[in-house]
Amino acid sequence: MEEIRDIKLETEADLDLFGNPSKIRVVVTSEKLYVIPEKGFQERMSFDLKRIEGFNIRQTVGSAFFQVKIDNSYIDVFRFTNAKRYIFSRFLTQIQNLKSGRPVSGDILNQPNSLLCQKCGFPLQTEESQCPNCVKQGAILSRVFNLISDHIGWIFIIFFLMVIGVGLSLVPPRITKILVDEVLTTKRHIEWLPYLVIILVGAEFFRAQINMLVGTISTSVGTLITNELRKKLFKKLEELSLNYYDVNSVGTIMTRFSSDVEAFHGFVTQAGQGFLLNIFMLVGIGIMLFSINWLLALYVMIPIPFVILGTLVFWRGVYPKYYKVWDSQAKISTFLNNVLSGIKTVKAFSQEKKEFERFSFYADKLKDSVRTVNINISVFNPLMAFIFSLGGLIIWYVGGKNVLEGKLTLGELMAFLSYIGMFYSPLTQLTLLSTWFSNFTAASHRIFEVLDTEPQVKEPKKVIKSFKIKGEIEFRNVTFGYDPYQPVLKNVSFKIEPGEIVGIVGKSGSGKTTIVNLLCKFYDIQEGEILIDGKNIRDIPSYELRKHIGLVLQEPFVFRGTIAENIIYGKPDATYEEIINAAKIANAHEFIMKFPNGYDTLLGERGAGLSGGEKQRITIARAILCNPPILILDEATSSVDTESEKKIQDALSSLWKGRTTIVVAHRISTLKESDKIIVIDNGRIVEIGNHNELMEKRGIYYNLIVIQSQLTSIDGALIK
Amino acid sequence: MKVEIKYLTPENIKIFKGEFNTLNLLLIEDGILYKSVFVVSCFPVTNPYNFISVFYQKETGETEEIGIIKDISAFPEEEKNLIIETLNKHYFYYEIKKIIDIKWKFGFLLFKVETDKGEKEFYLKWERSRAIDIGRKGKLLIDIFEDRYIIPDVQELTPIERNMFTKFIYW
Repeated sequence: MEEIRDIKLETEADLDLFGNPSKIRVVVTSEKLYVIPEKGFQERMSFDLKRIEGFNIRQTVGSAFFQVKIDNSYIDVFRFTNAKRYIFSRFLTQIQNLKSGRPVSGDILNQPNSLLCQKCGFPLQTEESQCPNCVKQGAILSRVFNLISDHIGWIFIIFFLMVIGVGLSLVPPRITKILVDEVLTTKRHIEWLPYLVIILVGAEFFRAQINMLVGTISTSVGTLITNELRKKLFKKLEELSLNYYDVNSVGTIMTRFSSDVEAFHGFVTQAGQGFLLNIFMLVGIGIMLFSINWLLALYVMIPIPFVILGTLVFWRGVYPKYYKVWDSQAKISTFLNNVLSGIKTVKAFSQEKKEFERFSFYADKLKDSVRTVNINISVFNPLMAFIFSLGGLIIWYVGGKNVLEGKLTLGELMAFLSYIGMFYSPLTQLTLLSTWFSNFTAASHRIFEVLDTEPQVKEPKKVIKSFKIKGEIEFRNVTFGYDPYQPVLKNVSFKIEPGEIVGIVGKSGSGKTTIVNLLCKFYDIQEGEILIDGKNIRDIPSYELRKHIGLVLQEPFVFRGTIAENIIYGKPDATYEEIINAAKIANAHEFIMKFPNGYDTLLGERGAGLSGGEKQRITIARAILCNPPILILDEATSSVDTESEKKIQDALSSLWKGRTTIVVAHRISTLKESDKIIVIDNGRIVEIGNHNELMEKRGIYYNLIVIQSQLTSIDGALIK
Repeated sequence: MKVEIKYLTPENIKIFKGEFNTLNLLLIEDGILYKSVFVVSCFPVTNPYNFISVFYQKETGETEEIGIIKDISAFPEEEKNLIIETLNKHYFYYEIKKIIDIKWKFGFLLFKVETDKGEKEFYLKWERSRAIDIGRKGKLLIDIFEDRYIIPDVQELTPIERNMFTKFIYW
């Protein structure tokens, strides 16, 4: 076996070409690529770098192949699981660098996966996320206290009132003892009767008052904290880049807002009326029981292990069953949402019967899951009541004997029995403390995770003042992929002069909209630079940058509100004249005035009541009102009918005069008048020029025109 | 309206092994040779070995479909085996034979399992989209790296394993 010298890159793949777990050493020298299986069924291979024409990673389902291009065809040379993707995407860049004579870094291959905690290997939500495993529980709690620190005064008041409340609830049994022993049985102090009853009434009255106060204060503080937290979360969500929304579903985020935030409310309520109260109650009652008769108090403890054990076993068994109930409820809601919003389609395809069957399936699942949980509870509650009553029965027997033997007074027995009635219930609650606490810390963690997430697009540290821009745009060697391992744009470079109208065309998925997304700083690029007026957009705050860009999207988004409110969305201080002027330019004024309430017409959810073309014209009016130096139209007319398209086109042509305009278009006929047309294919710019130049070239643009012209005879005139 | 599907049959193609174990395809009528082709099933869950789409990689690395093999059994044994071998190469997953342990931690499930490829530990984000139905009885688990684990039939797990599994993957 030849000795390998001058190693530039070295790493290890974990599968052989047939998908068997293996150990494949991959070594690159200045001249060769070696694939050396140390385990597995693959053969040893080596390739002269000179003979290799290119490299590629072919992603398949669950694994990927590293390929080399030889004699114009791609050959699989080794294979790896997705867990190794981060290494081989780096490897690909480095080997390409080596091949083209650029400097290489072998060390980069050994750097750990940035999506795992460097300390413990626990997965992170994003590269910047804190490792939940390394954050101590204490740290989470201290952050929770930080969040509620503004209300700490109220929390102390709750605490103080609670101690008084517990003290007052211990009074009635004591008074009962005196009443029985001193008044009813011995008749020693008959005159005490009215006073003792007044004390009993007073104790109950003040206890009720304190409970009301504690309830009111803890609810007020709880809702206040929840409210503040919701606002904090929403502010954070607005700051986060679009990539956060790519990986987190709206449903997951909504859960943060509903159940996780409610967990905080629960924390204050629990602290005020739950576990702290129960601890005080247990301690207070314990002291009372032992002070009356320590031996009898020990008998009270007999059912305790059964209470704790029973509660734990029950919750471990039943709690997971609650998931099924929640899941069934969620499924029914989703199903109803889907079917009812698409009821027209259901009816049009006569699928009512099928949908009813699907609904019945989910409804039956919900019925079964609710039934199971409720049956479990119906069995558990009487069982626990029996165990509680056992404690009382033991005291009746042993205490009764003591009374008969004169070791215990009847009043003491009555007080004992009253205290027992108050003793077991807090115990049950406290047994569930750990379950409640772990749920609460998990919910807190999920909230802190959002609050701690850094936007992928970093804002510049230096604050810059508002500035005017001319509208010069330049992409320099930009490479970007939503999944960093699969670039959508590859080394894209182009320049647009101020005031130019530029069309971007290409097949679906070629990367047209990605260019728009990057220019608006919705995502951060992985390589290269994007410049506006010669300034790197990384140095311009997103808010400032987007003030200068008017964006009209394929799917017009209209908010719930009046037409006027929708038009002034980007310029809330617009005058009535400006609103009408913008609507007129957008060819929207005419249809708006047909509504009885004109511009004050209230639009439904997502612009219900307007056609696609009308909604689009409102969004165009919105963009016109902002008067941006850069205008981007991303397939703005692709989802409307021909008549609407004509009106929108007229509106747009008056809009793009005098400003840099980028038009991403599916219907190429709309780009004929552009100063420049950029043709994108598979993430690369393949052609650039004006309509006539590109037609003469007879390349991809020409072919697209031919295809579209064949589809619409109107466009036939374009082919010369 | 019917779209023309180019079906590949033993009559119009020849499949054979090329240099470096690649799969080559010859279109008999046109005499075009496609080197290093790969195959993908149109219905990998419900009908994995029929309706197999055959692709080739263009010089740019992009892929393009050559046609569809509707019925693999029509091919001679040797060619059929080559297609299946290539098809299997397109899919990689671990088949879970036994669940040893599942632990929940901060929104992730740590699975300790025995698979057809040995013992494995992996983290699964505890979300519906990461544990999806496969067929009528199975579940596909997609871990944090996008590696795939299949339980062909959840009912075939032992009661203890099934309880452990459905406690978390209850959908």
